[in-house]
Amino acid sequence: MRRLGLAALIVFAVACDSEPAVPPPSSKLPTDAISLGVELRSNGGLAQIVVMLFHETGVTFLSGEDALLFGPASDPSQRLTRFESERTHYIEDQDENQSSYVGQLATDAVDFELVLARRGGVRLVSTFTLPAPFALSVPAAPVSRAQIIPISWDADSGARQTQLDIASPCLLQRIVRSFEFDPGAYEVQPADLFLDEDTMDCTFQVMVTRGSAATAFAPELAPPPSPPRIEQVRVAGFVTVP
Amino acid sequence: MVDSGSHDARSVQRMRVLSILCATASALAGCASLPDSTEVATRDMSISMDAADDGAGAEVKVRISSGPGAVQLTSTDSIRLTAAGTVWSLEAREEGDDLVYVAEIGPVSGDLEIDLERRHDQSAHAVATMPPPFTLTAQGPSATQPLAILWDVGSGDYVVSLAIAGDCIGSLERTLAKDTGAYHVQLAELRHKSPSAPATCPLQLTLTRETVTQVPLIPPPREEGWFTASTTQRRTIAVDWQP
Repeated sequence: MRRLGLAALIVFAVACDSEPAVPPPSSKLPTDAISLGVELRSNGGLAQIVVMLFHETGVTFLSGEDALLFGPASDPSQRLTRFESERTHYIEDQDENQSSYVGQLATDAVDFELVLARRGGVRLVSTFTLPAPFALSVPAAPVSRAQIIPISWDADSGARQTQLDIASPCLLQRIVRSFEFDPGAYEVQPADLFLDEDTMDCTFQVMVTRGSAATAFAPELAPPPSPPRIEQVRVAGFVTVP
Repeated sequence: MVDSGSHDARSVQRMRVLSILCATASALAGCASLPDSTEVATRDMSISMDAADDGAGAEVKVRISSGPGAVQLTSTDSIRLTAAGTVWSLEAREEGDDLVYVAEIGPVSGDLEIDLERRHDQSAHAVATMPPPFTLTAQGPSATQPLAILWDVGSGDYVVSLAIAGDCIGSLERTLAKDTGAYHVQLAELRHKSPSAPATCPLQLTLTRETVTQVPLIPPPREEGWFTASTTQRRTIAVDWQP
């Protein structure tokens, strides 16, 4: 009786002192235990994707015959490249990999497929549709910061989320505006500009991001840990004067 | 004003220890009685002032404390407020467990001067500046027009901030970089609380000018004690939101 108690105590102590659960590599996981975290962005000519694989205990990584393929709906053939984040270098005792998979294509396509290819020719296809492309317009000539500065872009009434971000080395505070619907325009007002009073010429960089909810993950996969970010992004700069 | 050179150093030190012990004991024991100011050295005092004008004149509240607890002015110590050249007496008022000295001084801008006059220790003089008053108006938003906000342009070392609230939207709060007297907010920036929230609702618009002051109660080179002040001009109006 005493030996059983001691054994139980040892097992309990080991269990309490054990390492955090480490997710197994993808080849050891059934399809419905894998979920994908996806960020897809396009500037109208270049599409970039970042994908992470998740298991219920954390981030996992591709192994065996598993691969991620990406591309326009007609041709999802680019194999994504593994990218190790800095976080992995600080993990000494854990086997968990903080890997992501990245790809980049020169394309103006808006419809994309992401394929998780598995052993036996299994292909699990997720589809993503970017928001409509748009052009961003900013002042062509230097503009005075003492006046209203107009910025405009092609509005999309179906856009899920539109955000404006203005940054500059001379701005003490970025201007960030999130819109409930896509207004297609914004006026930068003098009261928006946190600057040192003696600031002379200064270049502002404007980024407009438009998000989409048109996604469909392969039904065989586990639900994604968070909604994917599917965005059209446009960036433009303009010069301001006092 | 008492010349600090004439003080008995040991007497001051005793007062200091006693004041800290009294304040601590009061705070710990939750005693209703507050330490007398005569037991507290000026160097150990903190005076805080809140002056707020919501358009109907300013109310000024002054608190005197030492360590963790409030101090009650007694005997030979007194405090007065001077605003726009007029001297105002401050009325002692209990607010819960706190003791504040209050004056209703009407519309005012410019310097608010606090004078702590003491017979047995160094007196103190501190100044905070009330931002200028203003009138606030707005044109409500519609499907084709932004929320257009107008107020009297002012100047001074204060911060301007804007707040928009309504039952159907999440509140929008924004600090403005400068006091321009005009600002507009796009309809798309007013985010509804939920998809089921009404499309429009009455809005409450608040514009605030605020200064925050923090200086030693005893000026350099000694730099002892603290004077902190918040002075606010705030206007709030209702704005219709047209469909």
